[in-house]
Amino acid sequence: MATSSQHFDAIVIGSGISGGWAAKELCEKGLKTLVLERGREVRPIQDYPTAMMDPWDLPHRGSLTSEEEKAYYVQVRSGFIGGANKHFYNRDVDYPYDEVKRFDWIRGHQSGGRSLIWGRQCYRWSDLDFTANAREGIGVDWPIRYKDIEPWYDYVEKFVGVSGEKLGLPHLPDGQFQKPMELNCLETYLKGKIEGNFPGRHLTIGRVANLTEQLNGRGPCQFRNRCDRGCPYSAYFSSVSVTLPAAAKTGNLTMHNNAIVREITYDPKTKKASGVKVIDAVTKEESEFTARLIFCNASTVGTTFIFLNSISDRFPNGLGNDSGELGHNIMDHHYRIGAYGEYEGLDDGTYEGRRPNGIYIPRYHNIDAKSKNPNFLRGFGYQGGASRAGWGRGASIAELGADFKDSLFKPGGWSMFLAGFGECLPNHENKVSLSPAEKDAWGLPKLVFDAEFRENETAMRVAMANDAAEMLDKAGFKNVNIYDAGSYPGLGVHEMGTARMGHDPKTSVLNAHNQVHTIPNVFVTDGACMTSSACQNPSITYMALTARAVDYAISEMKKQNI
Amino acid sequence: MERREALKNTLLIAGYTVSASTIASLWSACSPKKAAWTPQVMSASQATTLAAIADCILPATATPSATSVGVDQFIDGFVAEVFSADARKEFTDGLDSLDKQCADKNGKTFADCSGDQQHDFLSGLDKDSAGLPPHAWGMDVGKTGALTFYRNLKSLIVRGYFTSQEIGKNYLLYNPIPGAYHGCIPVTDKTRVPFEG
Repeated sequence: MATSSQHFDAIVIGSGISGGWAAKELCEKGLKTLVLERGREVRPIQDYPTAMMDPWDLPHRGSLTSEEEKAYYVQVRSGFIGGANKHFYNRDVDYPYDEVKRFDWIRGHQSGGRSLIWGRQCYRWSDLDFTANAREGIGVDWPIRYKDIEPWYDYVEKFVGVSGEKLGLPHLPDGQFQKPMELNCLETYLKGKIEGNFPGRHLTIGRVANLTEQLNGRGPCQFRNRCDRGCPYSAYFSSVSVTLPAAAKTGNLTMHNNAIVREITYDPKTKKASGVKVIDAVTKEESEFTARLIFCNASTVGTTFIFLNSISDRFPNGLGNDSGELGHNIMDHHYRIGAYGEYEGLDDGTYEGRRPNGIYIPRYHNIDAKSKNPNFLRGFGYQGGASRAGWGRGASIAELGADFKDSLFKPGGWSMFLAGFGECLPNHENKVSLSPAEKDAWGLPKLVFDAEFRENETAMRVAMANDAAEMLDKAGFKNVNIYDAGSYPGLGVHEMGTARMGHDPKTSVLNAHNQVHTIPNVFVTDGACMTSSACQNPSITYMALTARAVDYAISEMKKQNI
Repeated sequence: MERREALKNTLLIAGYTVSASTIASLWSACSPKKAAWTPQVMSASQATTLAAIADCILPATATPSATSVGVDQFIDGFVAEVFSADARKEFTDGLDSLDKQCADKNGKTFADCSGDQQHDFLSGLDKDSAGLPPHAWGMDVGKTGALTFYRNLKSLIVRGYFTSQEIGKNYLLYNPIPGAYHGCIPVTDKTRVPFEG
């Protein structure tokens, strides 16, 4: 259907975890689709330079130099970046932004975006989450319910490949799972203790997008735990390994890297978007593309930038921004708080293999009348894991010499940590905007972040710390301590909410189909669309919303509504 | 003699066969060594001090000593390329300060001390300084105390040793492609800490 090299049936902005899905779905349904990715090309396997490197192969055994730490001055706040994966993170000196309040924007610009480096945890939402705003009079009501998204969770999980254990919990619906990974000795022990001491609480293995069974020629996981270097076995889900190749297989995909979309162009005559304006990240050459349909999946803040920068007479405050909510209500999960303890015993048991997954304790606060908490709304889950001390303990044991050294070759004692992930309430005052004067290296307005965690988050964190300590304590752990490593918006790497879905165009940007209320051919299915944050890792929800929205867009195109 | 026999028995129980020369070398672990490579950051005498410290902490047993797998050279390179200029100066000053403390206590610099003197001196530093806090997922999950120069140095020595190819491939569990995860298996004489993770 495309007639010139500049016109396509569909344009997808961004090739990350949701953009890759948009590309696959659109291409598989026969649309000539252009994917515009602002970052560099990453091809599967051949562009994973460190995937097979052992510690002694990595420069500086995997440490960043002090010069690198200065260049990646935001990314280092996460604790995730090191020598083995820094090529998948942004050099912050090249991508500065303003923080009115501290915001740790953790990201990488490349094919697949953060789907190369994500934590791969996949938890469904339920109506407990979709109805929360309406029940509590906070933000706006989600325009969808679980029944709308359930078949799409089924659909995407079967293609992604998520391993996990079914629990039958209404507020954490079971998915289409492959065999779950194993808990280790101490985790199994703690599971028994928690479920005995706190009836209604559960500890399970993480629901994770790593294959425990072969799927469509991918995997299974080899338990190297080097996922964020890229997987030579395609055993975890990323756009690069899975959805982009599926899109390419159809023959309908055109993908441009180094293509920064500066704005979506709006045609007041058709009352639709006509296309996009692009600036090349390397050459700074400008170009334009047109399409019948546009999916904006540039990540929450990336999409928000494009919309805010798309100014027209019809939309003087940003594309589709009649409500004034664009850029507002930014949320992120707060975490980096919980407890740690040591366990004396189970010395005759250990584990083998490096599991790229931890445990999960589903939310148990505010899930029903019985569990209503007087101090805070919503709730949190825990991730974490148990391990036996390795040679690293040698740094801190106050011994030296022959016996000390020899002992380090054998596993040390068991310990466990729990890290809470807490829901964040939407607040209009938490926002992202464009700097009126400052520009980036491409002459585009710099982004300004002004957001903070507030009362409900702070109150929740008290329980996140105390409950974790209590669970370890009651299970007989020793030297149990609470920790709070500091949590600022952005560190959860689940930033979302700046172009929220809602029933009413006066108070939301997108409708129940992720379609801009006032522009029928523009869809947003990345984190920007989220009306509330729940406490579950959101990516599988983005993927499900994307597949659902493409299906809707196609049916609308068939009816000539788009 | 008693201690030597007990140590030999310990090593045999652990599954290592121990030669007489190895046992002999155990007693020369904490003793002066000369640097055989050219340091980028340290002076020759600082390099000698570092080598002596590293081999006192991690002497040769049935497994190699720290210097025999180049831990001193690794640290010099690490300090040269990873540390900032300020941190480099702190490092070399720290070595000098440690040496001075030793001289104040024993009347000799560290490298010139006897094995027992070296062992006792470092033990004192070790017991006097907080350990590293527990760490998981890129964050500290506990608090210990202010980290001394000695603690950071020991950490670097241990890390340089156990992330070396010689140790990782030959003496730890080297399983780059495990293929599976077994969550609870019995510990045996053959159980070793994995080379990674």
